[in-house]
Amino acid sequence: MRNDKKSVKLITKLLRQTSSLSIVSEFLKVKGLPHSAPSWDVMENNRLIPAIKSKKITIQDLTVLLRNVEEYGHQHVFLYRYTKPDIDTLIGRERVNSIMSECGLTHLLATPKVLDQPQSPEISDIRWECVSSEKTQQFIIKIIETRETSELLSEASKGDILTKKWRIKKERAVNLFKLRADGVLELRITSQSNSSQYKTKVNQIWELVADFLPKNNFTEISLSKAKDLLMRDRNLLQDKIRFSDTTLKNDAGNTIKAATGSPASSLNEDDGINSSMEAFISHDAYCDSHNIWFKLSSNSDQDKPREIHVLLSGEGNEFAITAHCSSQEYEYVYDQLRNFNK
Amino acid sequence: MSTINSETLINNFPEDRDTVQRLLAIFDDSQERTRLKEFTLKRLFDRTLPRSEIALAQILNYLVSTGSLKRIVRVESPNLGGVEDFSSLMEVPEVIHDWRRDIEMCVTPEDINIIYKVISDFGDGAR
Repeated sequence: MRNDKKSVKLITKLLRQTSSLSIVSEFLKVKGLPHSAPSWDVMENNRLIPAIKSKKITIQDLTVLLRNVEEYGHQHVFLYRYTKPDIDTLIGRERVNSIMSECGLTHLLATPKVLDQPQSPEISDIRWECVSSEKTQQFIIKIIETRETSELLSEASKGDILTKKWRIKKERAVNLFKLRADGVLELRITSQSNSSQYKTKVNQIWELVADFLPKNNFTEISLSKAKDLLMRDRNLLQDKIRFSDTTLKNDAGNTIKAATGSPASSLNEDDGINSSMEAFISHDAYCDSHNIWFKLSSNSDQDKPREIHVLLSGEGNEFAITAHCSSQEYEYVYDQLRNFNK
Repeated sequence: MSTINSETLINNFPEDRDTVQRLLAIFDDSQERTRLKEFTLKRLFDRTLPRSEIALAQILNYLVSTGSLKRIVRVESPNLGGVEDFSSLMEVPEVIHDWRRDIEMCVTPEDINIIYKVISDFGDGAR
């Protein structure tokens, strides 16, 4: 039980960072267990630990819950396509098991490793997931890393010397490769707090899985068609999508950027903005980026309608879901973007 | 929605009669032409040509106190566009998530804009 208690404490700590009390409460409620908790301490001590003790739930159940909440959203996603015909061999158990054995990772086959802040980026989970609707499998590798950022604490000047004091802040980041049966690979990288540039990070993370997923066999999927469709059909899509900013460019390198003043308003509401973008587009401009919100209907009359914020900017194959979301919400956004990009 | 009485406003600011009339005309016009109805202090200063910034600020403060205008403290992204609205400067945090760039930003005075949003009906102001 001592080990179980330690595991619960670690998983609760990670759930605190990536989820909400209501999600954990719902998880317990579905299992028919006492689920209300006004604080994380109460949730841990009065709900989760007794449930484990009485064997109503297992550490494995909590690990799966953590997996579901930490793998979706607050991420920049990079899309690639596998260019070879042998995807079944690539993600086949025989090949993957052999590489895991060579890399000393066979222990992950039984159960994923729950990591808080490892010294260096570490593979914590390798698994296959069945997609029952398609009768196919998808292959997933998860990597946990610890990132360091600095926070200015104070600054003092004496004469012509300025001294600044910084605190190093450590943050846990969850990165994930998901290769779907149709050959599309998502590389999801937890949002960086201090930079919007991800190219170096993509290369660093990919190095860790190069044995499993050789980068040369993948090509980037440009999202330019989706960006152009969003621009072209923005009026048709206004019940589905709210537009916060849009950047248009032409081949002379000239740029028009339209952005709402109010965080809550939509570019669609402004006829002047729409006309100016139309005029630029009619002179061979193209859409370089969008900042949009997918509108989701609420489950009940009491719930507020929810919006999922999505950036379509940065690298050509990049989109971002900036806040944590459920797996269903993630899949909805992913499917929409793939459809727009056809 | 209440209607601003232009006479009351002019009586409160007799030295700024012209500014008041121009201000009310702007607010009235904005309601007819756009749903957005938000103005920066700088924009209002340019269009109302007041004797001083303080004189304009006093009129705006009065309109805020009567509930005709709402003052919004808006943190803006260096990438353009508002990030989050606050009701006072005291509420603005030192660090905020700039969702337009998906990055944490340290808020500086340059990132803050004071916005006046029209709440009441200014219909009689311009006539």
